[in-house]
Amino acid sequence: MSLHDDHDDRPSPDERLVHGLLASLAADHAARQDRRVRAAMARIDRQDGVLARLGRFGVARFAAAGALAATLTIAVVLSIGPATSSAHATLQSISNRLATGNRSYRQTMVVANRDGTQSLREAMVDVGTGRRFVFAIDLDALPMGPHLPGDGGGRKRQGPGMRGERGQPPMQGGRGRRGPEGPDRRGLDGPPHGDGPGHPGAPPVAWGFDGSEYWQIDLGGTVTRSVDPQRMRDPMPLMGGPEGELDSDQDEEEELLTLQPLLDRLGSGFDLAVVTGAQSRTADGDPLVVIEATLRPEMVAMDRSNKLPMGMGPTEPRPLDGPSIRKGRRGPHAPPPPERVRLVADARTNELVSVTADWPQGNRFLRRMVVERVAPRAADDAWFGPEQHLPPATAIGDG
Amino acid sequence: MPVMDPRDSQAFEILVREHADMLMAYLRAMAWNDALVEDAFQEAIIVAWRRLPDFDRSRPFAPWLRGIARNTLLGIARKHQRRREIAGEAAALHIEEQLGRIESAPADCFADRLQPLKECMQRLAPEQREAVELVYAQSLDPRVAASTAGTNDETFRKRLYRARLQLAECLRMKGFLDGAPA
Repeated sequence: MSLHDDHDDRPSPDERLVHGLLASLAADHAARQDRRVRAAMARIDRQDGVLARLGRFGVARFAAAGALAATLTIAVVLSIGPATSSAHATLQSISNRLATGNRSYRQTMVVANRDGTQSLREAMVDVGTGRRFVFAIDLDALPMGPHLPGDGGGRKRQGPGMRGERGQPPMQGGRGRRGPEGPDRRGLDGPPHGDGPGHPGAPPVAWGFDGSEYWQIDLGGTVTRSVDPQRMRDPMPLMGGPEGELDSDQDEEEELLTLQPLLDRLGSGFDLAVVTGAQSRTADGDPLVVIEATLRPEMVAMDRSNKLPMGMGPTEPRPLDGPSIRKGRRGPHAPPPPERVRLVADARTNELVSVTADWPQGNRFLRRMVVERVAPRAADDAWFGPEQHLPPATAIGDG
Repeated sequence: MPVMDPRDSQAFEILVREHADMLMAYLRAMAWNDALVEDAFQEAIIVAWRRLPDFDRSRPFAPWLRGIARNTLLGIARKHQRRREIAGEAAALHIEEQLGRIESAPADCFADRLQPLKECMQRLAPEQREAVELVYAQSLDPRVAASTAGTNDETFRKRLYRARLQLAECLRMKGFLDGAPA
């Protein structure tokens, strides 16, 4: 059902006008308008020359950190979008739909190990209205049990929450232990105290935004909070892209932490195609929208020439503990854009059903990411706070 | 309007941003189809940029931009064989006149000029207001919104339809819209 298309009569002029005016009331109207205008201006700049755009935005503002300069170049070019098409309109609709209501997704990541083998990581992602989100590593899915194809002898224990045996996580220090008084709440905005934010060595296992504050929980149960998303995002750039495009705009920085940035990224620098035919229906015949996005060759080339700052090579995965949250997202660890992305959405509602993103050339450690919709988990607003995402009590032992 | 070099894209972007809400409202009123609107919005800005040297600066920018947007929209709709979804001549004239009237209201931006619309929304019956908020403020798909409102698609569609007409009537009573109901 569209807003009007099953009326017998065409809408009256007054009805049309009110419909047009009401569209300005959308909660995310300003952000959408900004994206639309930027996309149009990017196309203009592509036609008139990239250099004009560089001058217009002021390279110096972006390149204050020298390490970002190369990424900036990628970002500027990435912002030059392709021709408008129905695929882009569909992508926009899917993106808009994602911003409404509470939804949950299971995220599976294939990561590369130093020895050439691959491992799996799993997480749950909940997105809600007002840009709230929860990204929680699935501790129950930590590497244990049978070997996996390609593992080269068993799942590797890599990354946050993936060291040690289940129920015996590496613990250091004693702060933040969950007790009767609840989690140790320590704001990042205040001066560090004790042994610093979180347990040194205790990897972060969940991140979120409750509508007003960002929070992070480490495996020790310590909760840190901040209104500054830059101080909370570094360990979880898996859904983002090259950081340079995202300048100081607060809205975009918040979005970086959710599925939204990936969808936004597809709007520029990618060739999009709507897949038709048998793939556009479920086995039950329900209609699906399938969009395949392919990173443009020039983007791939630019990314490869800039992707390895600070000695991070394709066979050198991110350090086990992940970088400190204090380093901020714009450190060298933000992943490059995927080379191929496949989006599947419900054709009737444009609700995102699944995303598969591939990095076939193996940029840094991430090879594939699969995000699949599951039954919504968020029962109420409290879900987007940290309290319901503390590690299991068995993980808060004395070592 | 910013002083603008014909090829100064920065000034042009400022101008576009000032008029983006109006342009989107206009296109939505004209097309009632999100995909067409999104395409036309992009194309209209690009065409406006190309034709900027021809723009008569002694005249207001908004009607000129709407004229470009309408032609662009018609072209896209024709290409996709969706011409029937676009407002006809009389409706287009009505929309143009009313938007021109709205723009003449003293306010800092287009959003501020919509205050009467927000006031009229408060006068809607609760179920109608809910329907409008679900579909427009929360951007829910109407089917999902109907489910959220606990009703079926048809009932929900009628609620929305009546809500829009009531809003138009309220806006006319407030002097926000002009002339006889159209």
